[in-house]
Amino acid sequence: MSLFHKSPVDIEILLDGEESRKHVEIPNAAGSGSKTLNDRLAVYEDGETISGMVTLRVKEGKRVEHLGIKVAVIGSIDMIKTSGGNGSGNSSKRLSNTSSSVSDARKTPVEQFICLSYDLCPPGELQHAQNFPFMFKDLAKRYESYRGKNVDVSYYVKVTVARKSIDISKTKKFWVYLYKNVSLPPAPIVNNEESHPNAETTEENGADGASSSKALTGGLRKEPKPVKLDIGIENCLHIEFEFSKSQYSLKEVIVGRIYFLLSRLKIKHMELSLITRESSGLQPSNCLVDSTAIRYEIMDGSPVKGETIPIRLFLGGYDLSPDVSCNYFNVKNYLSLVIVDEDGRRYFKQSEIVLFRTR
Amino acid sequence: MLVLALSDAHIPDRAIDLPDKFKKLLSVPNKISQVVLLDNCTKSYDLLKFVNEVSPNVAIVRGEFDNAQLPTTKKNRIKESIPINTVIRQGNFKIGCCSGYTVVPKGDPLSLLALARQLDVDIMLWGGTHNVEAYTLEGKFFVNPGSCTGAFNSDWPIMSEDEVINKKETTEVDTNKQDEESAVKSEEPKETTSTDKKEKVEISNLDINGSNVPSFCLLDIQDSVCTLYIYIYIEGEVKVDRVVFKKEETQIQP
Amino acid sequence: MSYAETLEQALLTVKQQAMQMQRCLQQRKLMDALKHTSIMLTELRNPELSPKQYYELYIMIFDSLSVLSTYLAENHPKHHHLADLYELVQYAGNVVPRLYLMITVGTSYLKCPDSPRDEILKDMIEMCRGVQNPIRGLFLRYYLSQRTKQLLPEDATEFNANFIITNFIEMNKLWVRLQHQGPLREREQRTKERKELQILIGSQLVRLSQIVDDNLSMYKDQILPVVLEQAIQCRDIVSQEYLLDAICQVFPDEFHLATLDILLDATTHLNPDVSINKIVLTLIDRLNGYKDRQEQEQGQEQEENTTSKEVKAADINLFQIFWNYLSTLNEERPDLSLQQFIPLIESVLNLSLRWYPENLQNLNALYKITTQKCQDFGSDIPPNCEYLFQNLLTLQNSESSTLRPSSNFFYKLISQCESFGGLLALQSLPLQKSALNSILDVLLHNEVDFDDENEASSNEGFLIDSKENLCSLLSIFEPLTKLGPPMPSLDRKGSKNVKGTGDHFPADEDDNDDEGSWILDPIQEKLAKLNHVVFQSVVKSSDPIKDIEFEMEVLLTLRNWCYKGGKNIKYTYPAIITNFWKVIRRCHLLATRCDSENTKRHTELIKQNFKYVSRSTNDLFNMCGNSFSDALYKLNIQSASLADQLSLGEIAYDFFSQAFTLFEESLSDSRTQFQALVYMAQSLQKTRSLREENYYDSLIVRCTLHGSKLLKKQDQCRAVYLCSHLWWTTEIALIGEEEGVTTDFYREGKRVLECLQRSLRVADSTMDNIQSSELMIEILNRCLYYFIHGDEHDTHVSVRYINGLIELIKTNLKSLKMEETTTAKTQLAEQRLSELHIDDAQNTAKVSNRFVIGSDGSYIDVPTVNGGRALVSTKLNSMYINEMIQIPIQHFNRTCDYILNQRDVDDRFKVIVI
Repeated sequence: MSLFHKSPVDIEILLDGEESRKHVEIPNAAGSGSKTLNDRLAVYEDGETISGMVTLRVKEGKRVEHLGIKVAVIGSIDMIKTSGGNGSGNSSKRLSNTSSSVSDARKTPVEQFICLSYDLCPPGELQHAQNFPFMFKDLAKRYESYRGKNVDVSYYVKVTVARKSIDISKTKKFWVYLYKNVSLPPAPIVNNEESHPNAETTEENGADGASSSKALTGGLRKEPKPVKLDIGIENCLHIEFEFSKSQYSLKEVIVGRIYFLLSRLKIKHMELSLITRESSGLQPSNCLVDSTAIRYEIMDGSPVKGETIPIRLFLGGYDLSPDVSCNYFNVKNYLSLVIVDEDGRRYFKQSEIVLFRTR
Repeated sequence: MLVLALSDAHIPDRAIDLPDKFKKLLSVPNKISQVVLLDNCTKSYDLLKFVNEVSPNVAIVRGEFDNAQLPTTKKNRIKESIPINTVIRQGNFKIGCCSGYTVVPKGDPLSLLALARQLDVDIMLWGGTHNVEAYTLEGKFFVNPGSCTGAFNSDWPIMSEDEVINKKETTEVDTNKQDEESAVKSEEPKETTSTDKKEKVEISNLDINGSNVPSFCLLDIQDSVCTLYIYIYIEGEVKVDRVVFKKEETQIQP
Repeated sequence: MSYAETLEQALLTVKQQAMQMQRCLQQRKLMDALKHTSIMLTELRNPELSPKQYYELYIMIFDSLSVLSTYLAENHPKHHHLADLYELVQYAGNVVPRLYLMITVGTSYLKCPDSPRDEILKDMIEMCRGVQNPIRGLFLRYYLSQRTKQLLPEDATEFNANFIITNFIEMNKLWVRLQHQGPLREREQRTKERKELQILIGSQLVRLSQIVDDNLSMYKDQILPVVLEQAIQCRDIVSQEYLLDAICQVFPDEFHLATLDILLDATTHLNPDVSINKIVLTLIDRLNGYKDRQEQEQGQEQEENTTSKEVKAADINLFQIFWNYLSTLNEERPDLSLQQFIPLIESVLNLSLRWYPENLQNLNALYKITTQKCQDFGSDIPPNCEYLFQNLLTLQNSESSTLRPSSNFFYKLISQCESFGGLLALQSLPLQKSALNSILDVLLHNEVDFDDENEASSNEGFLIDSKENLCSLLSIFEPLTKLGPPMPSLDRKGSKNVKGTGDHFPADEDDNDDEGSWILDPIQEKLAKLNHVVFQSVVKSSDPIKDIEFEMEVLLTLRNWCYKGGKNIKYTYPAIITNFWKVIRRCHLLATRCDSENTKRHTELIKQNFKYVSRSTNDLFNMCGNSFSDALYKLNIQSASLADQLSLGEIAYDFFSQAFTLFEESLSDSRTQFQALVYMAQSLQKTRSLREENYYDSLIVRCTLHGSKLLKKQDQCRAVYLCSHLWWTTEIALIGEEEGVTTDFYREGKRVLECLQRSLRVADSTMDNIQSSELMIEILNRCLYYFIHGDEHDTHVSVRYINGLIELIKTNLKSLKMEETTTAKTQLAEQRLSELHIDDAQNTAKVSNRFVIGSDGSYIDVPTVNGGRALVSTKLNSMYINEMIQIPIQHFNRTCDYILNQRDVDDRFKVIVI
């Protein structure tokens, strides 16, 4: 928008203490205009004041007439429009394994949950460089920043110079982390797996076509901790999959074990995956995207009956997304146990876990 | 060239085996070129096997308890007569071998001399008496190796009822003991381990068997010289005597 | 991350990554170093490698990881904290590299004093469960074991033991599981691979033995039960055999002594296909070795004269433990095959021999249980386990020399263990035969030879102490007495398979009855020798004066035993007769030497013995018939000589008469007859006690008469001239006779001359000129014998007679010359004939002395080469007629030379005209 032609005014937004702030590196979405691979963004928490300085510069010797200068802080949920929305032709695919080439441009805001602005300056004329401090005090932020396949949650400060012709604006993105209080973890999830059509017999997308996938069956117990899953294939495999609890802070370690009650499979190896599922749009036309955040081999070879295989997975080293839930989309995490036999067949069992961010 | 002369083993009828020390002495392969078995050595499989290992070249003459033919075994079924006399040749010597039992009177030197003449030999080996002897008569050499096992002898025993002879004096034949130039293996002199002999009225096996000690002879023949080694087994010791016999090349004419 | 396809590539990768890792370490770039390590470790994920290849790779990687480990420990906590690293490496996505890294970091951490040792150790061993592939898992756990070797806490033996045991159990599980990997047809390949890997498991037991040191109670209560339980539970043959063997090998003897029952009990719970006997054998070898060592130590201690240590083993009755074990096994495992059971018994037997050498009851019990087992199996003992019985019965496998049984031992064994005989009797005949043969060999070495200085004391011969024991000894060997000589037509195998046929008696009887032949039979030979051994042992054990009767009793027992052999008595009876003779001589010597009042009794005994001898010869004749009559004839003559020497003329006469009867009735072959008569003459000539009652006269006349009736003229001639000696007794120096001193020689010159004349007539009438001349020359020589021996009026052999004989010979030789074919050589011979005695020796030697005639008239072809043997033949070979003609000529020449030589010493010879 702002780059179509040379802007007569140069806008610079500086956040207070930006250099000393904690930053995150977020993979740069293609087409965002930046030349670097990663965006380096300052991190803010919920309720934190956003303040800074806007500097406006005019080309030397020029004058720019304006109808007022505004600063705004915006939090928005951006989505790729799917069939549920404005119905663009063939996008009836509900499960889209959207490639990473999805550009921000394809995502359009569906909700601006924050939009605060005020004028920095009344209409007038800019003749030379001018600084305007700004501040949004104790800004409440409902959602954590998120960059997914189909959905983004993004925050930015926007400065707009209103003109008779085209407005000149500049945005400055920042990132938001929402920390959960450790002493008060979110309420245990009540699994609604049964009602979920894909939970139990999901064919893993990564499996090659020749392989016939078999689903793991078994009931999911609802005790909050530890989580015990008793799963198997009749007369073939019977295992107990146990891990310490269903909710983990991102810095925690998943500890558990797999106990083989029956094993007639010739197992090649077994791995544990952490799958992040992004679900966007509104029912019934929502769109699910799974991405494997962690793939971790936990066993090599084929155990016999009675063997116990330990599980220990450090989460801290990975870049994971905590669970999010809102009207337009939600992000959930699943722990997936995958058994690959010597013929290449894969058997898996997923179990939802809640990830949250702590300080 | 070494020629081994064994006689009167009488295994198994009268004796079990050669003394082990004899066997050890003789168990030197490829040293002895010929063996002569004089009298009563053919009934034992073990002995014949042993002899064959000493040397496969064996000449045999028949003793009174040998059969007319060589004994047969599993492998060898060829019938071969055992002669009364035979002649072998070593160096410049012709050696007559004769079983003692056809010499009348038994062991008589003149009879043996006549036989030596008849066989036209320089050395006469004979057996059957179980007594080791060696002497020269009329330019010929007469050797009786005795019994190699010290077997029972049915001849007149050396001890007679009238004589009270100290056994040791008669049996110790250590006349030429100084030249123990042993042919096969030098015998190390050992202190005699005095056996646990009973001191009462004691009748040794030696007396009963006819007072023969085990003995055999070894002839070392080099051209015209024959060195005779006599091996005698007394009280667990092997004693060696040596006698040299030279052939007179030309006979004196009157 | 993926691994290389071939071992070569893998090794190359490992080498490269290891170098880069080291380079990074030098530059303190730890993260990069870990990355290279991780790539390197990826190679260990390769499932295609054989155990050997994997091991090769492992060794290489192990060395590189050692470098890393050293670096990690040295730089902690200055450049990094190992606790952090321990977490860090766990982000590795693949389990095998992750665990190698974890162990490397973890063990490096253990080297640092501030580390939480127990936690790390527990964590590492727990996490190792992630590798369930047998080969990769085994190596990983082996790596854990190797890395922790020096790092286990010193003061916590129990913890360490548990740590190692846990690892051991898991390793064993993996090892067992390897068997079941892959397709069924590769099972054997799997077994082979497993054996290649067994050392990895064994190393854990070695570690355990190091940990436990000499803590017996810990071993007994905590280690052994767990290890055994693991072995039993895995139910895997390879594993069970290896583990039990390893336990026996790895832990000290003292432990085994203390836990013997536990260990043995464990073996009863093993897979039925496990060969228990190997395990027990190993165990017993250890125990026997322990005994050896202990005795050595005791020996040393005695030398050093220090206080001896208490011998713990003395309190335990080892045999009892093993015996209980065998009984249990016998009850609980009736399926146990003989191939399994017999070696077990043999092992226990060796144990008993080593620990309780004097205890024959143990052996008896063992033989008894074996017998039962055999009976359970029925009569058909599979041929492939016969050797087991052979070993068991002959105690062949007692390896150390101290265990090797002596003849005395066997004697006791046979006479005191009734089960031994029972077991033996159950075996097949060939097996009995070969077992007995081995035992015989031992028994025959009874005589203590002074040669064996070292063994002389230990190896005492056996002494027959009672008739009962003798009987049991003999009855053991009964199967052998009945065996015929080995038949050439049936080789060993054949006779084994065809039981009973042809092994008892030879099939072709003709062979046996053939007069001249003799079949060597090593077994019968040994039995004959056994007679001697037994008799000698009796003589040794008994009082020489009193127990003559006992000796005779023993001899009779032996004779009865031999008699069961049927025709075989021709092998064994001569030995018995010899021993009767010995008893006779002994009695005689006792009578003369002791000069006691027992003389009469001894004379009686002597006569009794002669009767036994006579009886024995009768048995022989009845059993063996003509085939043995020549030997019998000679046995009779020798018995006669013996009787004669004891002045028992009547008995002597009887034996001589028996000999004549045999001669007349049974000796048919003319050569045999001739030789038999010569021997008779020789023996008669030495008799001294037959003068009374004209015994001598009648015997010598009979002898001469037989001589004159021999079939062949030449045999007649020779027999008769030899018989001339019967009238001309010569001295026997041994009994004090001396020529010229002794006056009562039996000499009748007239008869001598008559004999010589008679033989000359026969010689003259012989049609063969060569033989005729030769015989005359022989008679001439005989005349010369008498000529030397006495005056003309004594011998009646006069110069005139000799001269006449010489003339006659000369005439004959001239006519003999006519037969010569005319060749150049003949002319030479003719020339020589004219000169007769004036020959040049060299020429003669070269040309003509090819043949000589032996004392029985056989032609002897004198060998021309060194060491050659003469060909002896009874037939004249016309091919060599010229050479044959030379025989009498040369013999005459030699005789003439002799006469000439004698002229120097005896003037009388000068009147002999030649």
